[in-house]
Amino acid sequence: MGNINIELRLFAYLRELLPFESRGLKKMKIKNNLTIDRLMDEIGIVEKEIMIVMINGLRKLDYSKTMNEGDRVAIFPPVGGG
Amino acid sequence: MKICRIDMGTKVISFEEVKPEYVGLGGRGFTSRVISDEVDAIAHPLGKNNKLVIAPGLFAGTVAPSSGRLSVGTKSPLTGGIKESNAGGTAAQSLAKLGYKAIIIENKPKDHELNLIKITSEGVTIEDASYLKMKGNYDVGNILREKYGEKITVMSVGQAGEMRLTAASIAVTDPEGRPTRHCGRGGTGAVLGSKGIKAIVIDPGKVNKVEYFDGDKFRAAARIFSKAVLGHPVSGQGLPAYGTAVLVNILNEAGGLPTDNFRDGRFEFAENISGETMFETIQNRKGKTTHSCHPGCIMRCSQIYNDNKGDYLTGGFEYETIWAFGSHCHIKDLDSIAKMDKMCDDFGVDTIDTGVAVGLAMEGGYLKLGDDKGAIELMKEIGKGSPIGRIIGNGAAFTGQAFGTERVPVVKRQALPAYDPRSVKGQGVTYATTPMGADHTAGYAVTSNILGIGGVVDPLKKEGQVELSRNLQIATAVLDSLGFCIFVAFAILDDTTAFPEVANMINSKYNTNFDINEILASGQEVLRLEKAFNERAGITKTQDRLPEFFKEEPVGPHNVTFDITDEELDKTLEF
Repeated sequence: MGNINIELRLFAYLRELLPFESRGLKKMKIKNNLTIDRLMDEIGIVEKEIMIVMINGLRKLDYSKTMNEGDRVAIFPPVGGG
Repeated sequence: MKICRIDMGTKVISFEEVKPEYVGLGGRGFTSRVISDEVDAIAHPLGKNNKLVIAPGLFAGTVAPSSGRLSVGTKSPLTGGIKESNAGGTAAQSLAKLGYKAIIIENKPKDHELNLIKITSEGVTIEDASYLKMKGNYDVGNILREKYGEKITVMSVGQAGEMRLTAASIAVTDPEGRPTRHCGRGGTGAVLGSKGIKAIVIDPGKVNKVEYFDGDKFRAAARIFSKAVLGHPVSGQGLPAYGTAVLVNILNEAGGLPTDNFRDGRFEFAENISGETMFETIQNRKGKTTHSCHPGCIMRCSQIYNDNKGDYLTGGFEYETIWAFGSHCHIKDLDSIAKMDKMCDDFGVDTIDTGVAVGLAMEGGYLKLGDDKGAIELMKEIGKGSPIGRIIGNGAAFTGQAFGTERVPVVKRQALPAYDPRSVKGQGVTYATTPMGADHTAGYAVTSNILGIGGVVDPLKKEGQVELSRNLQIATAVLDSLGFCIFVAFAILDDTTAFPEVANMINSKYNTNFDINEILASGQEVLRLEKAFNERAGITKTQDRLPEFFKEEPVGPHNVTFDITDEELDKTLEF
C-alpha cells in the first residue's frame, strides 16, 4: 500500500473544516486505496450524499472509487444561482 | 384586473377590461401574446409601431413566495426578435395591488420629449420629466422620491435608454429604493426611451386589490410550496448565504467559466472574484450578505456590497456580472467589478452585454486584457454619451463589429452569458435555440449539467442535452408567466410535492381547473408564439446557431468543442 498526493479544494461553508488562511486548499498525502467516501469521512463531511464531488473537473457520483497521484479533488455543498 | 393603454403620440390614456382569452395569461405569457397579436413583426423596434408591454406575473402581490418578478415585452432593438426580460424589485407587486394586469405603451412622440408616467390609486398621468435629462438611475430615484414620497416604486431608464442604445435596460427599484434590479437583456430600455419615457412612478399607497377565488386554499398551497423552496439546500441555504456569485468557483472547477473571451474554461484568479471572497468582503465591510430584492422573497439571494470605507457601493451583484467584467476580461479585482456593476445600474445597461462588449474592446486592441482601470474609464464614457461610450452601450455584437473582430460570442446579436457552451453543453443548446437570443435563464441546464439538480446530465457529452434544454425552456416559460423567480425551479425539479401546489395556487386564485400537463402546455404555447413572431421578423433556424468557433476550437481543461449538430438543435423547440 503506497501513498499518493492529492490537492483537496473545499468550497462555500465546507471551508470551515480547514484553517481560515488555507482558503479551502489543502495538499494531502493519502493512502492509494482510500475511497472518495472515506476521504469525506476523514475531512469531516457529514451529508456526503448531497455534496458535489469533482476530480480534475469531472463530476464523480460513485464514492467507492479511489483517487490517483496528483488529482485535484473539489468538494462543494449544494450551491446554485443563475 | 384591468389593462392600461398609454398612447405616447396622442397622450391618450385608456383602460380596458381583460379579454377572456387573456385572463389566464400573466408575465411573459401576457407580454409575448400581446406583442404577437398587436405588433407587426417587421416594425422598427424604436418606431411608433412597436409597443412595450409591462406585466406582473399571475401571482404578483399574492402570498406565493418569491413571486414578484415583472415582465417587460417588446420587439427587441438588439435581437430584432420578440423579447421578454424580467426583473425583481417592487414594481410587479405595486402594479398588482393597484389592480393592473398590464400597462401597454404604444406609439411615440413626434419630437424628442422626456416624460414620466405616474400610476397611483387616483389614476394614470403623463407629466413632463425634462428635468431628469441624462440623469442616471440613482439620481432619478432620489429626485423622484423627494418629489413623490419615499415609498414609491420607480422604473426608469438611465442615459443609455435615453440614447436608445441596444444594451439599455429598464431599472426597477428594490425595497430600499435603489435601482439594482433590471429588465436587463435585449434593449428594452431603448424602447422605453424611444417612447419618450424616462421613468414610471408607481405608488399603490394603502390600496390592495389583489383577489383570490379561494384565499384559504391559496394560502395552504403557498405554505407547502414555500416549505419545498426553503427545504431545498440551494434555495434554502446556498442562495441566501452566498448569492449567485458562489457559481464562480464551481464553474471554474468544472471548466465552464469562460475566460479571456471564451479562450479558456478556467480563470487563474477565480478565487479573487469568487462568491466566497465576496461573502468575506461584504462581512468585513459590514454590508449585507443576504437581502430580498422584493418583499416576500424567501430566498434573499441579493446583497449589499460596500466599498473599502464601508459605504454602499452596489447591490444585486450577480455571478453573470462578475463573470462578464471579471474572467471574460481577465479582471481579478472584485472592487473594480463592483464599480462597473454600479455604473451599469446607473447608466441603465445590461451587465452581460456590456461586460462582454468591454471584453471585445480588449479583443479589438482598444484596451489591454485585464486592464481594470482602463475598463472603468471606458465604462464612464457610456454615461457621457461619447461615441466610444455609445459603441459599448450598444452591446457586444455592435462593439465586435466596431472593432472588426470575428470572435464575437453572441446568438441573435445577444451576448452569451457566463457558462461555456462547449463544457456546459445543455446551456449551449439553450443559447442557440431560445427565441430570446443567447440567454442563460431561458433554459438553465446548469442545473443537471453542473449542480446535480433535477438529475444528472454529463455536461461534456451531447447525449440528453436537447431534451434537457427543451424541458427547461418549457418550464421556464411557465415560471416567467407566473412571476416566480426561476430559483424556485430548484425545488420544483427535486421535490415532487412542489409543482402540484403551483397548480393548486393557480386554480384557487383564478377559479380554474388546470392540471400540471395543461400548465406545461401553456409554456409550450408561449414558446410557439415567440418562435412564430421571430420567423415573421425574419429570424429563422439559421440563426439558432452558436458562432462557429465553438464548434472548431476546443476549450480547456477538458478540450471539448460544441458538437451538437444543427439538425439536433432544430429539434429542441419542435412540438
